[in-house]
Amino acid sequence: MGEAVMDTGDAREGLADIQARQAQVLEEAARWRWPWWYVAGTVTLMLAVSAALDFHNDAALFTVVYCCGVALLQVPLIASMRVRLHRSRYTLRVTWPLAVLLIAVAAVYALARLALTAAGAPLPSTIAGVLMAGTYAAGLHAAQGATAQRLRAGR
Amino acid sequence: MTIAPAFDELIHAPTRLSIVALLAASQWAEFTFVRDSLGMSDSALSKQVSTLEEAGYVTVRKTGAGRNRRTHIRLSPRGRRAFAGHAAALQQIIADAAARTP
Repeated sequence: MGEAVMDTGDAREGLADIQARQAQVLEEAARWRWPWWYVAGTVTLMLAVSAALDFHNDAALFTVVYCCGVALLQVPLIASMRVRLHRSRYTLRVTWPLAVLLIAVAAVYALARLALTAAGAPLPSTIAGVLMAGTYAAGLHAAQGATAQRLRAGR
Repeated sequence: MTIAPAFDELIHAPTRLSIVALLAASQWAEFTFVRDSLGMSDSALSKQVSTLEEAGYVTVRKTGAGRNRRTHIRLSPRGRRAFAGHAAALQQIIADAAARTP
């Protein structure tokens, strides 16, 4: 069947099918949630690195350890997905709630550690790490929900 | 960049159009996701994917072993271009028909 003999009904049906399939992909991506083991792994890393900083003041080393740990967690995370959206869908316009969460998490740690150190509290980095991990775990669900909503709205 | 309309008979077959449309919206999709989304059997989907692979429109990657074996399918750059051209051709057919309507 060539373009010349194709009727508009077929063309409309084809375009409608394309839109429906693309909506299916978006819905699957928007429904996906971080698995519990990924959240637990990230929280554990945050706590471990924060606690370690109370005993060894080598921030650069532990930042590298943290980044390596998060990178390692990406491997099973990607394997757990059934579909991955095209890059053009993951713009900052859609993902800003997650970006805000990451900035908030870092700010909570930095501010809490500064305040605790100034107050002379014992193990300031560990306590700041607990607060940071709590903020991350509590905010993740809301941030992901907002991102999913924006993905659906941008359809 | 504007896409030149190019009707593609290989893509236009109903099942293949659905497969390519799913893949066009994603970086990659798991075989089971495509199968479940389209309500197809493994063998029917394999056959269509092989046809698309032979045409250079998709690439198939298998990972893991045994029960953890997974198959990922992605649209190749060539397939992405062909799909964009085909979708543009469908839009043009509708636009031309609308322009002809008095």
